[in-house]
Formats: sequence, C-alpha cells, structure tokens
Amino acid sequence: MHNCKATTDRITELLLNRPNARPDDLLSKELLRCAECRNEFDALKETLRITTRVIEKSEPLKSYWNGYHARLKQQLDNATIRHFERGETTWILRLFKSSIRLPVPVGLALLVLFAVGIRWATRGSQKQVVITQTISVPVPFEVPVVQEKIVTRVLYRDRVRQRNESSTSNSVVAKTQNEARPPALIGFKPLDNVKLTVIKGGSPDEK
Amino acid sequence: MPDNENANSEADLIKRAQAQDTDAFCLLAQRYGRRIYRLAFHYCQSAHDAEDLSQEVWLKAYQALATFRSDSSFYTWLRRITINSFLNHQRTNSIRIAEPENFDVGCDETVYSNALFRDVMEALADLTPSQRLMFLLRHYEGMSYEEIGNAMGCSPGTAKKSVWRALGKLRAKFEVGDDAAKERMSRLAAEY
Repeated sequence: MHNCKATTDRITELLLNRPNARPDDLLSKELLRCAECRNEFDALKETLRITTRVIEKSEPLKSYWNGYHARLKQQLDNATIRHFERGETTWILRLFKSSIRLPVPVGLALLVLFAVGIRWATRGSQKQVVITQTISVPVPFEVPVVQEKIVTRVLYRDRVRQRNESSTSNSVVAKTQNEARPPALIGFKPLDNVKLTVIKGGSPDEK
Repeated sequence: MPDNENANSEADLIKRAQAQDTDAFCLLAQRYGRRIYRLAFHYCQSAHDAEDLSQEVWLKAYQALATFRSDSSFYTWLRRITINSFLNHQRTNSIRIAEPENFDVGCDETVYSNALFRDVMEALADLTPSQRLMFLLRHYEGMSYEEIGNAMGCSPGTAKKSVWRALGKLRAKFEVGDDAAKERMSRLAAEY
C-alpha cells in the first residue's frame, strides 16, 4: 500500500543527507508507482542541489584569507598578552572554575566521607562548647576590705595659761584639775609641738 | 594511514595550542576556518558580520581550549562553540544581502551563478534565524535532529519541524515542481 506522506518523509531525509543520493530499490518502486511522489523527489533534489552548490561554493576570494588569518593572529596575540597580564589572578579563577572527572561511585564515596567528616567536626565542636560553658560559670569571690580607721591624736595644754590660772586659785583649781583628768592621763606631759598622726587601713606603713 | 597522521598532527597542534602557542592554533584555524566562516556567512547573511562572528568563535575556542578533552573530535567541539556563539550573537534586524561580486562562486557561467547566488541568499534570508541555523546544521553539517536539539536546546521533533519548514520555504522560493507538489510540501512542513 503506497503512502505518499511516508514516501515524502523518506525522500526528504535521503536528500537532506546527500542531495545527489539515488533512491534505493524500495523507494524506486514507490516513486514509479506515484507520479506526485516522483515530482516531489525531483523538486526537492533540485532545491537541495542548488542550495548545496551555492553554500559550498560561496566563499571569499583567496586574497581575503591571508588578511583574515593575519587579523585572527593579531587578536589571539592581544588575547594572550591580556591573559599574561592577568596571570596572577587567573590561576586562582582557574582553580575555582576547573573540574575533574570522577566515576559516580568514587564521587558518592567522597561525598559520604565529606558528610561524615562534617558530622564528626560538628560533634567535636559541640563537646568543646559544653566544656567552655562549664568553665565560664561565674563564681562569686569576695575580697575582704578593711574599713577600720585608727586615729591617734596627741593633745597638749598651754603651760603659761595653766600657771596663771594656778596662781589665782591654788588649791581649788589644782584639786579640780586632778579630778577632771582621767586616770590614764595623770602624769602626762604634753609636748610643745603639735603632732597629728593619722593611720588609715590595716597596714602599719600606710599613713 | 594518512588519516592517522592527520589526526596525530591535529592532536599535536591542539596540545601546542593548549600551551598558548598561537601559531599552532592559527594552523588549526586555517584547517577549519573556511567551514566555520561559510556557516557564519549563511547564518548572518553578511560578509562583515560573518568575519566578526567567525573570529569571535576562534577567540572563544582559544580561550576555552584548556577544557577540550578529546572526548569528541576537535571539529565537533568547535561546532558546539560556534552554535553557542551564533545563538548569543546580537543580530541587527535588517538583513543585508551579500554581494556576489565579492565571492568566488566557482562557476564559469558568471551571470547564471550570480543570479543563483542571489536567489539562494534571498531564500535563506526569508527563513527565521533559528530555521536557517537548523537547516544549515542538518543539511550542510549533516547533524542528526537529536544533535541539533541538544545543541539548540529544543526537542528533536522541533528541530525536524524547523528543518522541514525551511525546506518548504526554499522550495517555494525556487518554484520547482508543480503547484500540487508545492502545496503538498507546504502541508507536510506544517504537519511536522
């Protein structure tokens, strides 16, 4: 049973592959049977033959190619110079861009190892965190501060005034003085100079 | 044996070019330069743009040569860069038709050749850039629909549809075949 669509399909693919191709026996029988398919074959063959001829033959004159390759060489040299100028940075870029081929099982194994490594590292860091937290617990430590103040005063009395007073009231005043003095100061003789020593804190050297 | 020698010398050139030897890279460019240029020329429809675009392809290839690992042929790798450059290329809206006087169409019948050249260029200019590129990759480069789909980020079905539409437009432009055949071709192109 002849099928024009299928025959045209076969004709087209045959001629697209080779414009000067000859139909095989089976296709020849189909073409002999159908005039439309025969016309189709001839028309397509002519179209593709002309197109191929023009495509293959159309190219610049021979003199053009010398200039073309000279211009290309110039561009390549410029590109190489730019490449060397950027040389120090490009190797880093190339390192990041480069890839290597690995069999899938090896790649998977590496991936698993990587995942295990990450897991291991995470665990290690977690333990370290616990230790750090234990150490960083604040312990209150009170430093005793001595706030006691010892003040020593050296007191004196004016002897001249004492004599004047003693002349007017001899026995009464003397009696009164002896009574007014505390028992600890009996026999105390004050100095002529005023001396005041203030001792702060607990250290005896601190004045 | 010559193929092996050729491959070895190409591998040697690639190794030297990877070590920043611009002369070795220029030899590679001379080997594939015309093919890339033709692709660029028929894609962007302008001799000036084709030079810019093809040189851009070579510069990108030179800069990316360190990533070439010989998993595929050098040309397959280069073609991938070419397609990406084409897709990134900012094209102008006005398409300039190239002048045939500047080209060697390789035929003694100059008048006929020039007319043919213009017809083909106009026919290709009528296609969308995507259709044009897919048609060139399928017909001129011999890539499969799967490869085209991978390179251009579409499904093989979409690639096939675009190639068929392009072919339908080219056929209509050349006005080959009878009306019924043309109509059928357009219908088929629309179906895919």
